[in-house]
Amino acid sequence: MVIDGVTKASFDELVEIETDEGERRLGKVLEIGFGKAVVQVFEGTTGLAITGTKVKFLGKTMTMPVSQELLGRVFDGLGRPNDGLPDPVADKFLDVNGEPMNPQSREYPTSFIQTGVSVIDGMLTLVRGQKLPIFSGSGMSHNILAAQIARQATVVGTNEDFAVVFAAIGVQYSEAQYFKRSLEESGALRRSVLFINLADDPAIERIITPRVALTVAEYLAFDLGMHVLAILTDMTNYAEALREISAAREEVPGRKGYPGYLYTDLANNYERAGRIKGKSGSVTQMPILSMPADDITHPIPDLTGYITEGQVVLGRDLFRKGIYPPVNVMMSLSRLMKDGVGEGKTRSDHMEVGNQLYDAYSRAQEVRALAEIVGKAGLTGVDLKYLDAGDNFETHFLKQSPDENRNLDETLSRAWDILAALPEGELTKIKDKHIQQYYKGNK
Amino acid sequence: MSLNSLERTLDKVLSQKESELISEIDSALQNSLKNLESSKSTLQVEYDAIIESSKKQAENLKRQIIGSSTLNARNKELIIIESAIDEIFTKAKEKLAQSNNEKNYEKLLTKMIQDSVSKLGSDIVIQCNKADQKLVRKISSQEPTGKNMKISVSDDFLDIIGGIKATSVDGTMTLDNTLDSNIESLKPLIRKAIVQLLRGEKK
Amino acid sequence: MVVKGRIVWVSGPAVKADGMSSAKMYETVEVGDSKLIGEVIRLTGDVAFIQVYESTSGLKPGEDVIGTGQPLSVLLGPGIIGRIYDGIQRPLDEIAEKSGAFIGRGITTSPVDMKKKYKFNPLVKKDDTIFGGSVLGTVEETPLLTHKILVPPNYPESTLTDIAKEGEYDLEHVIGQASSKNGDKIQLKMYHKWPVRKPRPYAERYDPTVPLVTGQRIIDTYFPIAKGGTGAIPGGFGTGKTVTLHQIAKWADSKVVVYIGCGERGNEMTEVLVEFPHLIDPRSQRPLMERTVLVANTSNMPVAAREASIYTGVTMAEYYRDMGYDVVLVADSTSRWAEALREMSGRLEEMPAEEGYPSYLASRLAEFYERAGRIRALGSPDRSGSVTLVGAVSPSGADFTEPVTTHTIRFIKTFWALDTRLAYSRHYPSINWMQSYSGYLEDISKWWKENVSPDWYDLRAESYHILQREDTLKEIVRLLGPEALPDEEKLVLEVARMIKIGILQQNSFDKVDTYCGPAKQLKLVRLMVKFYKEAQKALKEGKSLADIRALPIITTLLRAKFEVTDEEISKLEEIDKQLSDSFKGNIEEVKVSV
Repeated sequence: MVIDGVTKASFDELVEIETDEGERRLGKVLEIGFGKAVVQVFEGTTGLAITGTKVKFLGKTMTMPVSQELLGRVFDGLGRPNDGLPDPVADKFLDVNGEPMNPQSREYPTSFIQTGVSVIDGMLTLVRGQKLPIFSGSGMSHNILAAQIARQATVVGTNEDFAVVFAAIGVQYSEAQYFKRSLEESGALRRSVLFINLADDPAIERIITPRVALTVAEYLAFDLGMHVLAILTDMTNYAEALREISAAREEVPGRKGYPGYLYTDLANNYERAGRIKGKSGSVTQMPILSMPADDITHPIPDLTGYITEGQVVLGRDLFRKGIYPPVNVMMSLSRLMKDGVGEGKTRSDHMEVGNQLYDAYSRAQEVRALAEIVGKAGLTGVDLKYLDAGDNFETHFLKQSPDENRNLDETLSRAWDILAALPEGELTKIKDKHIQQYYKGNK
Repeated sequence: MSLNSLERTLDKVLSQKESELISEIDSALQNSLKNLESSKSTLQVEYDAIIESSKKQAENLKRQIIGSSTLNARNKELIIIESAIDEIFTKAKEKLAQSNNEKNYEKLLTKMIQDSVSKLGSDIVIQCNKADQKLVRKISSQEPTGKNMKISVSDDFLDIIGGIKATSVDGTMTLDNTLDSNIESLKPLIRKAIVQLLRGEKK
Repeated sequence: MVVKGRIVWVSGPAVKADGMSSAKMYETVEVGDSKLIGEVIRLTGDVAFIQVYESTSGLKPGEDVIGTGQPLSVLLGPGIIGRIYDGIQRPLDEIAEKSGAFIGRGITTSPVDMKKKYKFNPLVKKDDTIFGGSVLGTVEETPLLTHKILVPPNYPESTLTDIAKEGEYDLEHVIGQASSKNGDKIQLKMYHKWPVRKPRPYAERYDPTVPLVTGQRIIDTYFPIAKGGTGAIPGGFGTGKTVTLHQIAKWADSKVVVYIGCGERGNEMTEVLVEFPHLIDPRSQRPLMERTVLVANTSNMPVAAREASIYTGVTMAEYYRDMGYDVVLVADSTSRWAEALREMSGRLEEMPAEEGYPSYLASRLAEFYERAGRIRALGSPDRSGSVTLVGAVSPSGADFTEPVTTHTIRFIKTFWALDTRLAYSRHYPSINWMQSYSGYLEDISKWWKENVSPDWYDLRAESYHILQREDTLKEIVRLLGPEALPDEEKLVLEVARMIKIGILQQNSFDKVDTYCGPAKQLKLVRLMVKFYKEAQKALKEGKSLADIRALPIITTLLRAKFEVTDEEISKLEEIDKQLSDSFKGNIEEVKVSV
């Protein structure tokens, strides 16, 4: 929306729009100059008449009131109470856009988070301050997985629970409700802050939802010293909203109609994770996005993968086989695992076992493909063992129940069970010392 | 075969049968004992599992109950605080409404009118409440007016506690400088101060 | 005259100001009340188009824009090494001191400590003739690096009228005075400034004939880059681009490394900051940080400064080159830099070319890679230095036909194509040996011949040929299964697998494997080629493939890369002998069984 006769407004300023029917909406200045202001209206421009609409420049950028009191509260996508309770009394008002964290001031993330999910703890370890997205597809069990992680995540060696900041971005009511109930049932709601923008809420509002959520996450982490797990679902809806605005402004599009600044814009959200030297808290981010048509090269997962520190990819095949969590480990990766595991952090064999499992499962996949050509009968002894190990991996290690919380020892013990089916000579990624100590197969 | 030998044979057979029987009974007994033992241990395992899972459930339930009850208690507190805030606000507004005769208020109005002129430029129309009209007229007439500068005071009164609202003559721009809207925009800060007072915290 | 204009329009990092008719192109300006740093990137009449290097949130039309009269420049002098800068050479540690853990706005700092005293050793004396680029003296910048104090390159030939004695001076101290032929008096300090968009001049350009040894087998042996050369490393996310670049930055045999984190992850820069001070340079036994400069403009930092960061980095690299050093500049990622160009271009409402990139994308890339080279520096004494440029490319959707990749290919000579499939199967570095190439192979083979072994070129070619054959055979296997091949060809698959595991794969997290010197690289290749020849011979003599596959020497060969360190390379001779023996033994066995 373009407003004429504006001379005193500033870039990024917050604007209140009053329709001729007295309804109030919020917006912000995208462009200002030559007497005109281009304003983005968060709740959409439907029903705005050219005459009769009043615009109020509020003289400040968009802020979010923050305080400890936010825990246990539910807000809408713009950070307004949505639970029938009064506005929170603010300790501070923070600009929702945040400021870039100085790389010099960052503390490199190295503390292991136990999620109780074997495939993540064992092979895709999450560390405090990491940003690890879940790449999913429509209808798959990403929300169940995220909720399980939110309930179970603990920092080993401490009894500290995570505070959960949950931002629902354009999701269905039932999904948001599932998440809320899941937190409620585990008693985690009182250490959670929820922001809910539903599928039928204005799309433009979605631009703000992750920003208010991350503003609160940063406050809880760096002002109050808490460990925060921020879950943003579904970032695809966020990117679509961005595309919509860009198209309305007739900007030159980049790939697939998404604006050229999609990368920068996503980065401005995803980079709001980490640890800071001298502060005890941390923001660990777990954005969820559904890959359009399960296509990992689509700009949204693609650009996300370039920014985040790895990715957990859910696979349609495993999902169809009824395996939960259906994590495609070959396509998944945790970049910070190498720094968060091992002697003194988890267990000295952790990294090697993880690598060996990758290797074994990868070989199993190759053998499976080969078996399709030559038939199972055409396989040699070792190949058959890999085939078994692959099946075993899926049913004994990967698969677990959504309310099953496995500690790291159990996870690693299950890993060794699978490796026991392979001859010792195949375990090329594991040091002799650990084979002596843990290998259960025939020596 | 003599009777004797027959007897002996019978005895032998009998004793053999007997020992067989005894050992059979014995092994049956052992077996059933074993069965009992083993069923006992499986029972124990099952029993333990049931206890364990109900313990877990109880634990979960406890967490859930504690979680939601502390949350509920907190939320009730929030509502009570909010009503206290509202009360204080209403009182404060009432008090403000009565203070329109003070000298400072005239100064404030003067500043507001000057501010409106500088921001909106040229001709403006000022609205205020009924009680303030005289004062606003007086101040406006003292303001220097040029050829492009005319301040008119409207008779269309506003239902406000004080302050003014200025509109450019073409009606496109309005500057809302009423006390009501000023208080409203400061409300978050005032609320914080009130809550700190209520909770006995120091500023 | 100071230019003073007024903001008339703001949209993100783009600002228009009027009253700017006397401003110059690429002049640095202070924008608005909070004095944000900006640069004039277009002038139309009296309206200047300015890109602002900081967040413009809250900026209003009507606020002042004040010119500085200077183009965007970097300060060049001792104190640069070991620091981490943002895109416009502001040290991040000082920004942190002034604004905390989050980066504030309108902060001005000095790129180096102007108060710090360095011990200056003069190398010239009074009445000497000096030229632009001449070395006046040296200071020790770090234990690893002797910093040469240079006369600014654009200074005329002059006669020294005064030069400071050996002693401790700070950067503002006048260490020399000279007068030029037409009588101009010149004052010389230990630093000077240079505009980032202007390549530093040199006397003469050399052909790149010396390889940059990186200790990475697939790079040095198969797709080498020369000192002063250009290389690009494109790859989708998760292919290990950054790890590979870190490896080059860590182990390349250059004197100085400039690492530019351009629009990438914050934690990656932190990782370098945490790791480099603890990593020891294999040649000098000193911490790597003592030869490294970092330029960090992470993805969430202002996009305009991302555009500038590349130029800031390359100008610093050229400065050290001019001292007569070999410099490697690693830019991660040039795609994010291109996107910054695209974003500014969009705001300027220029006519877009493919995928919204500006039509001058290609020429900007060309200009950047053209700043690489091995040169003879200006002034005296004679010295040669080089800047090697390695740029990461992050193609969207791992699609190498997108504009940044296709244009980059035109201007670089070494291409390391990262392969998503290899990365998925945990083959690292995931450089695809069929798609990658090096244009320096012939130029640098002389170096290998003279310094390592005369048969380097042939061994490389023989081993590479095995990989090529495997690539064609793989198609058949995919369709018909491996049993369709004769034993001779199955052997090719087997040896190719050994080369992949034993040579191409390299574990950057393994203490031994992370760096592999040229001599060891060649030895490993020689062993593989020898194995192939021996096995071929054995096959011809009637030996079965299954028996060859079962030879224990294979495991030894595969493990040699991390079992044998560079220092104990003679162990590879023993393995060589074992290799000969195991085939001898087998052949005898065959004879007995016949």
